Amino acid sequence: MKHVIILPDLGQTTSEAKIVSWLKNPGDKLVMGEPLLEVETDKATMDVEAYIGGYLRKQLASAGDVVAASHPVAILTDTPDEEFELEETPLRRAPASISVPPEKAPAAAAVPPSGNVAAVPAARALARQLGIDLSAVPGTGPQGLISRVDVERFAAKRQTGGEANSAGQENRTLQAMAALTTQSKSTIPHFYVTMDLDFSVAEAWRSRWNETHPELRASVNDCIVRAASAALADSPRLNVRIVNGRHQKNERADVLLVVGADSGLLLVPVADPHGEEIESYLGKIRQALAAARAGKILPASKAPSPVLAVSNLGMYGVREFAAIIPPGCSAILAVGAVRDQLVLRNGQVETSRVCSMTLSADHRLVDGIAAAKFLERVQVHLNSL
Amino acid sequence: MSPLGLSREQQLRMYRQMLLCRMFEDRVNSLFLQGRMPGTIHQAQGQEACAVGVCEALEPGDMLTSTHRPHEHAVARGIPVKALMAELFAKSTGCCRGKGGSMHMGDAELGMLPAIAIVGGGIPLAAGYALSFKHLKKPNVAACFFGDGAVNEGIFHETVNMAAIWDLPVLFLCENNKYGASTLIDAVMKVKTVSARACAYGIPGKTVDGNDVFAVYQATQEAAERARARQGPTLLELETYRFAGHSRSDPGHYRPKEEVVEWKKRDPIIRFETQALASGLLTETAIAEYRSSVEAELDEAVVFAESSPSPLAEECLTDVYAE
Repeated sequence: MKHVIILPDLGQTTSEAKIVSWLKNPGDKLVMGEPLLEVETDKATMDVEAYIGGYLRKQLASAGDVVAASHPVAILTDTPDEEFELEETPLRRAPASISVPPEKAPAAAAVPPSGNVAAVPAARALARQLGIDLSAVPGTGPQGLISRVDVERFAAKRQTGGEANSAGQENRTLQAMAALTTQSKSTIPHFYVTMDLDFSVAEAWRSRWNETHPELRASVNDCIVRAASAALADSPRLNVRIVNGRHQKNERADVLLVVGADSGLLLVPVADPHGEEIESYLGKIRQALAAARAGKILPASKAPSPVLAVSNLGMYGVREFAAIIPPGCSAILAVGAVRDQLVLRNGQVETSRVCSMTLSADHRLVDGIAAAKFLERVQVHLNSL
Repeated sequence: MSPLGLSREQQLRMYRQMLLCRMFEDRVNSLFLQGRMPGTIHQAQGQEACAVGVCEALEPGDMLTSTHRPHEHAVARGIPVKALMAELFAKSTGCCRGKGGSMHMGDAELGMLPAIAIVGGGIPLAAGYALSFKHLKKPNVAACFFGDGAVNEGIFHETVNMAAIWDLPVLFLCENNKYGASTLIDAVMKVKTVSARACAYGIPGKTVDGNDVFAVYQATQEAAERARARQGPTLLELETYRFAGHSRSDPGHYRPKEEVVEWKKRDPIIRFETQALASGLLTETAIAEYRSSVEAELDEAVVFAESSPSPLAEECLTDVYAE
């Protein structure tokens, strides 16, 4: 008879553990209670014992792998040579007392139920809350293990898809907004840095451009997103994210646009807005916005995963505001209206065009100096569009 | 072997209760390793003589309070293992209707208040029960288990002092297993024994071999008689050892391996069996029969627990606040 050994839930603050080493090899005989492998949790290194005696037939994970609690790690059989099926045995877990029926994601027709997908419990809980089928979520952990950040990212991308403007979509978008903002504001230590940026040079550039390119006009927001992306590329201390508890540098300077739509807020990722010629950038951002408003999803492989978001309320006359960081990002830039302001320069009163920007940043990753330097770099790039 | 005038039936009952405690804990560990049981657990393998020796000396109307390590206390107090197992599975048939879990085992109607996980939290509640027994002129006593980690909590001092000045019928029972989570008691206590503190309150204090079920029974019996005679509380220190770590997430690396080996030689169940085989109270066959009968009782409890319904969502606030 086959017995599946799982990783017990040993952690204090996480529900995963790293396999340090195997203490038994395939073919070895074990008695009940004998240590089978050594794992490292958030708190200690400890042995996992066999709950039953038998012969170790298969190790389902290797030393160095991070495995979610309850995930199978080994197969034992009663006799040394008997045949056994390798396919995963559904785990017998006590069902949660209160469960929300999972909604099937559109792309998840012929995939196994979420129970067999490797995901940390926090990811399962969030997926249940958001009605996401975990089998549709790409996992970025070891062996495709799905983390909570993966679910957040999937939820953020899903908002750009589905039947736009239908009641269900609207409801889901609102639900996702409620869940993501609550989660973000209660788990990310936000701090805020505000700076008044001089928009005169950028505005002059924009007028020149729009005169010569009436078919491909640049908005104030287009200017800011491009400058913010270029500033992000200059700010390695900001261009990071947390993956599996570790800081990871980001390769590109993608930006996540927070866009208002009839159904609620949309999160629209734009790949590397500063990395190409201005024409193709303007074309791309228009395409991305149109696709998002029409409810089209980007192919997962091409979808960028930004660490910086931009939210702009300037068109509503807002002077300045502070935004909530979307999960998965390290900062969000909140942009106010470009306004006329009197400034005193060398004893002379002059008029100037000023835009107040507030960067909300995740203090686990970013400090105030990095945030301030980033805003300085935004100014530099606004002056050299 | 029993100088206490215990009948053969009583001795055998104490043995079976210790076995039930141990095998209950072992079964829970196995279910946990199989992923069938949710949640974390604090296990008490090795401390059976404390739980059973104390509970054998308590009467049905007495009240017991417990700790974050309450499984064996609840088994020894006689709460049906079905109800305890169902509680661990968070089922509505559990002793707290599935809403308490591992750290709140108990059933006030059966003489054990659902356990309090806060270190030292059960101590003042026992004194409160004792005060009510005194006022209502009931012949009962309240007993509270707590660990060595609790004796440096303010509530321990305040409660023992108050119980002493009012001569309350309380038994303060310290299961000294040497470690408060991972901290060795010698590192946090200057006096050599917990019982030495009793003189500060003007009450009797005694250190007992907590792995000898008869010694624990005798000491508890004496303390209970004293309390029932309105002579006030007693502080008993039961020296024992937990074989496993503090919780399932603690491998116990802070303890020297030799120390664990040494204490396993003093396993209260093996000690009982060795003595009972020598005195003729038990035979090898009888031991095997006891073990298989306990095994069967636990099998039944697991089937009962796993097939019981979960609490309903709409009941999540019932039994939470007093009405």
